[in-house]
Amino acid sequence: MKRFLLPLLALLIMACHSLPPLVPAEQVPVDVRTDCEAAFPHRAWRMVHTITTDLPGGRKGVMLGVVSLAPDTDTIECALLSIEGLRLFEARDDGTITIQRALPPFDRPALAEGMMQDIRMLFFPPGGKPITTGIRPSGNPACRYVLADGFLDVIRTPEGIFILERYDRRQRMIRRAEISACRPPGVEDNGTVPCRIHLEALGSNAYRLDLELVEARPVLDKQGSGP
Amino acid sequence: MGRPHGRRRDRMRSAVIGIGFMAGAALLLIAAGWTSSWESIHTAARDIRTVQAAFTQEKHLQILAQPLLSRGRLIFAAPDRLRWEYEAPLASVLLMDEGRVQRFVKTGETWTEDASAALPAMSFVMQEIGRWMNGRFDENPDFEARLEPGGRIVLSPRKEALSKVIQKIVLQLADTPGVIESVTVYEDDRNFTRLHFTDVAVNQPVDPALFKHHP
Repeated sequence: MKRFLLPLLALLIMACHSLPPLVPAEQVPVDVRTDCEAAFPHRAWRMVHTITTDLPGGRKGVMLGVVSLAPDTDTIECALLSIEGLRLFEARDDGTITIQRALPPFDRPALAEGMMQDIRMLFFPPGGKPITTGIRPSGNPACRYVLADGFLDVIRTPEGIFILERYDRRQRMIRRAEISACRPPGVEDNGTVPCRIHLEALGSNAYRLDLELVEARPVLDKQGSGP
Repeated sequence: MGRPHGRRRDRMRSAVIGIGFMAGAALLLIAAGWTSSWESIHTAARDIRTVQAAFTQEKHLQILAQPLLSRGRLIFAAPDRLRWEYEAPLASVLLMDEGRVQRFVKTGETWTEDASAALPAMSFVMQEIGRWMNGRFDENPDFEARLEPGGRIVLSPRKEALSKVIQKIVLQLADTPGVIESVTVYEDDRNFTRLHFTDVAVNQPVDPALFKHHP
């Protein structure tokens, strides 16, 4: 019996993590695409988040993450700091990833690329228009984008939470993020930014991260002077 | 990666992370014995039993237009007990008590043990604190200490590998004997951490339980 149950279980798990159908439906709100785009900041921001990851034994790993986003130039600068402020990692991605600093264990070659991919998914809208909009099996409206290496679904729940699901070329889910946006104090006129993020990476190198906004400042000019 | 290489990396990581984090705290302690020469620093440091201070921390990053601000409190008891506590923006506390090092972080409403800190690094730092508390800067194998006029102490890494991580550490002593004004840890010219200490109290009674428990 076990011989049949295990493959069946594996199949079910795979089914849960594969690209679901997106059913065009008349009840889809006409502004669904606008809703999807609202998941992402629309201007240059500098943000600081706490980053918490679960570790074995119920322990936590906590760091500070700093990102500087420039959507107009498609550029990301990011840094990881220890709680005490020591810069553990810093890199820039303007189409080419340049690592400015990487202390062990943040000096693994694949780490920078993976981190930049995660940051792009969370903070930059995917390029181009969605290939389709519609209703997910959950009943929530969603937009589906084609990426260079797969697909991205942007889903908005009735509670106002954005869900991002990234799939590889074989339509297997490789990332899932839940994002709660907010207006940072003192910068109400500059739109919303992701305040709470829960990110899950699936697959052989699985991990989970929880990000909480510490501060966000819009970049006001080309010299980068914030308020 | 072979094991010897791994050990070197671990050791280096311990040195780097540990020094980067704790230099400010440890140097505050030694600077608490106000002096104008190494000899008198050495003498004054021997008399220090406890130090308590509030601190504000500015993290200057090239990619941030304004520094990231933190604040907290430091409590030290010779020879090897330390409580380094951040109140904001992220509540956390590092406890070192008789060789045991733990860090706790407040996530939501609960305190959980943080394992991202390299605890071996903290043990390494404890040894360094022991030296610094006695004013034995010249026994630190990793830094060369220079005492400059105006109550300025500069620590420079002896090894090139460490200098790529920490360029130098600068302490500015206050006019008041036994009080330090600031500690600055330079990662490079554009990225540094500055700690300003206030309300420094030397040799006041300290509850030993503060080194054993998070809030």
